[in-house]
Amino acid sequence: MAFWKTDKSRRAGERFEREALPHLDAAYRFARSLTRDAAEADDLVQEAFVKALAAFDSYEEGTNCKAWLFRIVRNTFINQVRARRREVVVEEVPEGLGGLSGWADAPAFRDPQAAALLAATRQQLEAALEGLPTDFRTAVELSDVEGLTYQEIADVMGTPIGTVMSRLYRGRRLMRERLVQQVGDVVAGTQGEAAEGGGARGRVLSLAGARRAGGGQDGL
Amino acid sequence: MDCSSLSRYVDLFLDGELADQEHAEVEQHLRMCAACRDAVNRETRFRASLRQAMRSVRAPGSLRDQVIARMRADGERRTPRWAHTLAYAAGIAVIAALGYAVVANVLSVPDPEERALAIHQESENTEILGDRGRVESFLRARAPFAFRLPVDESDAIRLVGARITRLGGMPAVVYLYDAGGRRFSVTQYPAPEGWRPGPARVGRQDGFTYATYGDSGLVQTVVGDLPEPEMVRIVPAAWAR
Repeated sequence: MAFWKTDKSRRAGERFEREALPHLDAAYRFARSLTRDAAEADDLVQEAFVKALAAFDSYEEGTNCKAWLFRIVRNTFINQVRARRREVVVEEVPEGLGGLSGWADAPAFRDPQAAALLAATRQQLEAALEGLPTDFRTAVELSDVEGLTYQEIADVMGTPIGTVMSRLYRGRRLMRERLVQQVGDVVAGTQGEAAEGGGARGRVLSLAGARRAGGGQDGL
Repeated sequence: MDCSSLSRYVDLFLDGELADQEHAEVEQHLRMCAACRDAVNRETRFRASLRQAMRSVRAPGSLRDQVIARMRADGERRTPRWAHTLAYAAGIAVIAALGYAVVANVLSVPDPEERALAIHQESENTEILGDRGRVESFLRARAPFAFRLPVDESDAIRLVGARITRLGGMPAVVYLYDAGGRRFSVTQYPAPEGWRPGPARVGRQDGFTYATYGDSGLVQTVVGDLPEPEMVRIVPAAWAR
């Protein structure tokens, strides 16, 4: 039962429960992605939430609480890794794709093979994300799964926005290449069918437009 | 905008990162170009399936419990004035637990698994202490059904808190009232199948009095240690006969 001990801590506690606790699932997903281990993710989320409550004053109401929590989760993770003197693997992230010039061929867009992507199973999707270099995967997950904006991802990852864009671009492209390889053979025979699956044509604009609108919600 | 510039902007478009003007230009092109529309549609569906697949990963219930417990332990450490509130909390726990027992009885939840689940879910409740305004805004944000404050307040009866819970798999809201220093709870839930509206059903169980009443939408069970005549006075006039 939740009973906060003074008016002040009670108010903060209630506000925290209302604003932060609904993002527990998302925080856990992010922790799983960073640690790649269920037990470590548990510890990480616990520590991060205790820190987040203590620092709740620094959360700006009206901003994305999920993004704020993710920042704390990631900082806590980095601290934990340092404390354990574990090697932090810094993956080489090729730069030079930060500008719009890098978008000459948007991943899988208008690629006939792209139809194969829609046939991917959950396991295949998970495996394809898993296989990405950590920073690419984080960018893709924070954008495509958690619905954070580029700026929010940049804040969480502590990188410039251009780096976020290049990681997203490369991460998405790599992931799709792998998926198409994996799934492509299986659905080669049904591609024509998949391409005709444009029954949702009339919906496309509303779907595309709704993407960001629903991005911040956690479907709880 | 033509097809080749669209392909440059499509990620930014789907990510909601284009300025209004550019966003409108992309939409304009998509209205005219079926090939791009199909491609964007496919991409949208792919992202939706990725999101859905990955979002099926959820925090384990044990982690949720631990996080909540640690949050609350932390709150206690920082402020030592706990005794009074603890007694208050215990009072609510007793009344709420009794409300649960009575309501479970009324609804007759026979399935042990379902009951165990309900009790487990009980431990993940969220609740609030405060007056009517606080309770209402809390419930407006979180109540899983269209709630309605079940009892009219008066000089003698005051709303002091509420919690959201589940009973036998059904959502419920428990309201806590103060009647001149004595507490009673009202458990409110969507009318279960087979519920027939009628005059309040009043009874006694384990030394407590209860009254159940409601219309075809919502059912309430009032539980407290008040004498039966007082209990009946709490029930709104429409159901007190």
